Amino acid sequence: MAIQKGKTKKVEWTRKAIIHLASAAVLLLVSLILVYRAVRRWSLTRNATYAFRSYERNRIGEAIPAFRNALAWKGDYHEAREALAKIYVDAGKLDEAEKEYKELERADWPSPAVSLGLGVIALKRADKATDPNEIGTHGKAALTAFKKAACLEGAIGTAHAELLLALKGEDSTRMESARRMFEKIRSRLLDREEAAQVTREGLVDFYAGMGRIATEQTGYNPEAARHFRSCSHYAPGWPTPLVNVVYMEAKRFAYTTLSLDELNQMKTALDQFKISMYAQWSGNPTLYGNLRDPWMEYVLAVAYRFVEAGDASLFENWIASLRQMEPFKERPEPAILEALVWGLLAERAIRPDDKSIRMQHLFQRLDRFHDMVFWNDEAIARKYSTLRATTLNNMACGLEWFASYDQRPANDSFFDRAARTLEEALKLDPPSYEIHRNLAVLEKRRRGKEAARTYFDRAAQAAQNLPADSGLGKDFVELQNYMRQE
Amino acid sequence: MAVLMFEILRSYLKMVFLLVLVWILFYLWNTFSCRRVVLNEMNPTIPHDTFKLLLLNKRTIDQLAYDDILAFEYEYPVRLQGNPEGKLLARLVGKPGDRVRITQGGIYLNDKKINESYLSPSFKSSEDREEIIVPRDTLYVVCDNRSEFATCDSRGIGPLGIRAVAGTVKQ
Repeated sequence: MAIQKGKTKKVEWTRKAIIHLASAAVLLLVSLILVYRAVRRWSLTRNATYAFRSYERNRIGEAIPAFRNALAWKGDYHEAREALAKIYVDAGKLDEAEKEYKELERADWPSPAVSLGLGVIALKRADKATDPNEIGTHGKAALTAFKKAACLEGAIGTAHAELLLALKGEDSTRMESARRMFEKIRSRLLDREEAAQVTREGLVDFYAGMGRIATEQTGYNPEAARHFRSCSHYAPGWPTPLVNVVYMEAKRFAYTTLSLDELNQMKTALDQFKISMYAQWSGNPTLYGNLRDPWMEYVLAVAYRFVEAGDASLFENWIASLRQMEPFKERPEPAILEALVWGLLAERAIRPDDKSIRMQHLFQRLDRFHDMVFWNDEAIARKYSTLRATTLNNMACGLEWFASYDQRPANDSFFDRAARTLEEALKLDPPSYEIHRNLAVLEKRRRGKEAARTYFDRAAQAAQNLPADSGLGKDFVELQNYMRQE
Repeated sequence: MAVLMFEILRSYLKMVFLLVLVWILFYLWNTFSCRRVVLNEMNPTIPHDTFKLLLLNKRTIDQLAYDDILAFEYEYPVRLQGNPEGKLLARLVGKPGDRVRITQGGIYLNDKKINESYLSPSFKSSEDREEIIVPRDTLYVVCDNRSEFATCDSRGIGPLGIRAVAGTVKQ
């Protein structure tokens, strides 16, 4: 018998079979859609969680692409867009931030953060602007946006806008209005529940505003210093609060007379402040540009107080440690500070018992100061011309004092050196009353009244701009009396 | 028939058991973690080189208690020696709305000095920090090793965002 092929089963396209296949196809399609949605949701959640965590862990570079990915998966993820806009504002990318906030406005996102964000953007633009019309336009936009927010943080923004417009327009009425607003906000913040609703940025603005208002009076204001320190406590790495803190500390020492005992009691706190500042710099070299000048003023003010009280050791330690700091290596600032303070030392009473040591140091520093290679750099030389003039003036005073105190013929050359130093200072600061006055006194002693006449006339010209009741004004009267004497 | 029913029931129960097991493992993985304490930030409470069980952060700020020890991560400006990922522990001392200030190393919460009996004299500090209000969605955290880790907790980085907190240490 031959082999027979087996009968293959045929698909019978019955109604039942078609229904089964169709159902299977529909179920497959639904499964694919559900899988896609699940993957999309998982990816969105993963990106969003990662983005928010990165943002709050200070990993901004990772947060931005994660937020963008989350928004790519779900365009109406408003919380992510709000956070992204805030990052852009912090980074100074105001146009990008405005775009995101406008998108949220179009979507009618009810969060007050949208109005607050737009208000902050307008305020930053008003701050950068110089044209009064532009300042006015941005200022009004900021006020409108903050009022729309209708919350405590909006009130802080409104007060800040008033303050900015008062400062830009030198408007004392507005300043008074801003002061009253900030005081009202301060009372509201005493309520814990209400205070818990304000974000970090709102509180930074509050303390910065309070500090700025308190600095309206000249001199050192402890309240302003407290507010700026609070501001810096929120965001230790932000440059502006830190700059304000350093400037206030410089003012504290510039305007307050302290005894050596009081200064010695402050040494630990001063060292801690210095260490915390250096830690900030080490971690964030970009702060250097903002902090260089205020830190110079602060070190000079502190050094001046200690030198005036009779202790030069602190400033010598500080200059030495400043030289070790990365931003100040290969920079002229430590040498300038050192020269300035040595100028102060020379100007103060040089103690007779160790005058020989001090004068040697003074000459060494004067030579070193002259020879500093930084003065070959035009930009640096121009920037520090007045400080150099002051230093040379102070050193010349020290030389003259020493030569007058220890009147041996061998020291006559100190008078010549003092005169040459003052002439050099004059080239750097031609209209200076002090330098002309010192040259007039010195030349009268060296070569007589007629030799001093030119310098006296120029000092008189400079004194025309001095108030009669000021220290220098009174000094000019004494100079006139001195010149009349034979 | 009874045998058949029993077999079906057994298979069903096996499947349920497996699902429950998977769910339990998933729950444990999602809820607990383990962290090795690399640095001395919580001396003497938690010495370095110990392992601690973490309850992963699923709680809201209201559910966290004062003095809870939190595990967090932060990108520090300066890499921490021995801990480049910036994973640290710190104690919760301030919640949103609280006023926190530090005077001579002592922490004042809403003008009242907090009880810090867990601190050892050799790890105390004598610094001052101006009063601030803890902002929304943030926490004020401080390491127990006050003298060496001033730049690593809220004294150095400001109030910490709640999302930077990975979990709470189970004591």
